[in-house]
Amino acid sequence: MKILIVDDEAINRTLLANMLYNAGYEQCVEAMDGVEAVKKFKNEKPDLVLLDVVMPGLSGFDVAPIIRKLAKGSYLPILFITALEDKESLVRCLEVGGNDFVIKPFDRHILIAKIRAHLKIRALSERIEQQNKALRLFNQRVAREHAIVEHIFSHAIVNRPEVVAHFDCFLKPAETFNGDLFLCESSPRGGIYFVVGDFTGHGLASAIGALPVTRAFQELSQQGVSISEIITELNRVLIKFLPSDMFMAAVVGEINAGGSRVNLWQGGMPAVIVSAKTDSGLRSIPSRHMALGILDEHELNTDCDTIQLGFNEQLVICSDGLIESTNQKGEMLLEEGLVDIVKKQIRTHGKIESNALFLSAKKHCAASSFHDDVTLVVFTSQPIKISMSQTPDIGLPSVHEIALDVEHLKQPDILQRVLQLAGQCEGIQAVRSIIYTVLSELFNNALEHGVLKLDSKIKVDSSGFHQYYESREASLKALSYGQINIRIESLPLKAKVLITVEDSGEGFEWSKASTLGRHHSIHDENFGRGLPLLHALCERVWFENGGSKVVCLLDTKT
Amino acid sequence: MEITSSYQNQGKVLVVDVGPKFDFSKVEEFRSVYSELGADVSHITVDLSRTEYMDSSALGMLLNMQKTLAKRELTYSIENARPQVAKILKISRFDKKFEIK
Repeated sequence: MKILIVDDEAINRTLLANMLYNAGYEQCVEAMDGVEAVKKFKNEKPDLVLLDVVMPGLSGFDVAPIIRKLAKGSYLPILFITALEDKESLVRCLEVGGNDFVIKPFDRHILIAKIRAHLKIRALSERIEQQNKALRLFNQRVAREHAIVEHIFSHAIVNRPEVVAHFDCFLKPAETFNGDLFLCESSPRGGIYFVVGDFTGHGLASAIGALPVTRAFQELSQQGVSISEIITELNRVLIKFLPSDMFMAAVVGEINAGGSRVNLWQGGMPAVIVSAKTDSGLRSIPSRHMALGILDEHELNTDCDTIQLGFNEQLVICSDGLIESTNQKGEMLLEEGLVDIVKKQIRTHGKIESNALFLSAKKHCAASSFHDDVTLVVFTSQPIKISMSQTPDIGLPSVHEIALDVEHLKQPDILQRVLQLAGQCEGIQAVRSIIYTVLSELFNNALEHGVLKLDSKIKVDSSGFHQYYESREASLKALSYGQINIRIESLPLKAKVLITVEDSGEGFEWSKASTLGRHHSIHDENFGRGLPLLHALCERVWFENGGSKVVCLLDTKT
Repeated sequence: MEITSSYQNQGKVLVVDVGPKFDFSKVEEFRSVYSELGADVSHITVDLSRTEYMDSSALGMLLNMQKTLAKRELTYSIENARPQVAKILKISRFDKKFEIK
């Protein structure tokens, strides 16, 4: 510990320095007047200053404020040592920035005790200063990390504006990150899928679950799967990604293209309200299931409610942050309270508006603010207007040519790989499954009849059916020569797909087969179903090269 | 195994969930589902909710199941088909042999 002794009398300085030395303070710096005191203070950075009051030039009263100003950071004790005894002078010692005083002649023990006490305070203050610094750094790091995560979230969890425009939503996170989630995405059938979810807790920890959920939801929406599949998949994702004490209450729904029917799965959310012109017509759909991310797949119930919406009728979905808001008496708003607010709004305004609904709910909890995230989503029955194509408006035309020889044909997953390639063409979303069926049909025909020369007629009875597939396997294994060429041309601008499959076989009498096929009774035979199916699915089907090459033209508009 | 099956309603109903792709590659798997059918079963439900596409060999497999089990008095239904798959069932007039839900 370094102590600065300021006194104009050399004898006093030596006396003090000796005393301090004996008390264990070996590092003392001396100054003989105010100017030198300031200079030494700057250079030596002492931990404590002993200051005489009466000095020529700058007095102790002048020096104290200067030093006080120079001392940055931790607590710096300035102790006056003075012969002045009057009350006023002593008060002034403290007023100009001193921390304590000792009156001459002073007692050695008292002075040392005071120095010890003040240095102890300085040590504490230094520790606080260090901790503050560490805390500042930590805060900066957290802020930066939050900024990064926020950036990721804002890019990963985005609803397309033309889809979200069909909803009136109000989202208010309790913190930067939202444990509530609202997702919507168009369905391939022209309707909309949506999820209103509420994760356990709020803040970053609960928001993190939103990422895998969003991803899964967007993929499933594009595939146009049923609500029950979305539920199953989201549940699977949540069980896989989240710790077991975290889960997501959710309302998951699909709105039809007309905007008049909603298939709704409701698990662990406050009752969904369906508005009506009269109070008695108001419906509410209470939670029917446990939240997602709790039950194993075989325990999960994916039953949905189907809700018919009349013209201009509204669907109101909210998270529990809203209905669990409490007033001064500690009473929660609850579902009943919300229903009352909804009824009141319909009576006065004829319709529900999310912002107004939130403000009414807020009035309920006048004193306190919302402790949890609040999400309010209102859908007003209306036809859905979203352009069907999710790819850029002008889809890229493409041609895939696949030449398969014997080695390829023997691969068990060969058809899957061909289909996967075909599925990547732009402009085919609406008929992807149909294209898969057509390709699968053409491929199997080319393989079974063209290359392997199997006769479908064996399939005439049940044992023959399996005999047929067994001989297919055996012939394929023994196959030494064979080729199938597949060409898939997608023309998004014309909304057409042209599929050509040619095999190395001898062809067949297609004119006979196709006329036969078209009028064939297909519901009772184990064979001969493929060709009529092709004719029904495609705009045109024709054969070339004596039947060894078949061309299908498909319309990609539904 | 992509095809899964379960008994419901005290073993009276067999529900077969076909999985994402219902085509030639499923011949053996599909047959094995009904090859050892419980004695109490009176109805078989084929659930196509996860099925992305089916082809004519799948249609054949469905009919073949009925033929194989013809001696037992069973009813059949095909459920939850997506629009494009349902179209194929409709084109093939499968409603004559199966109850389509």
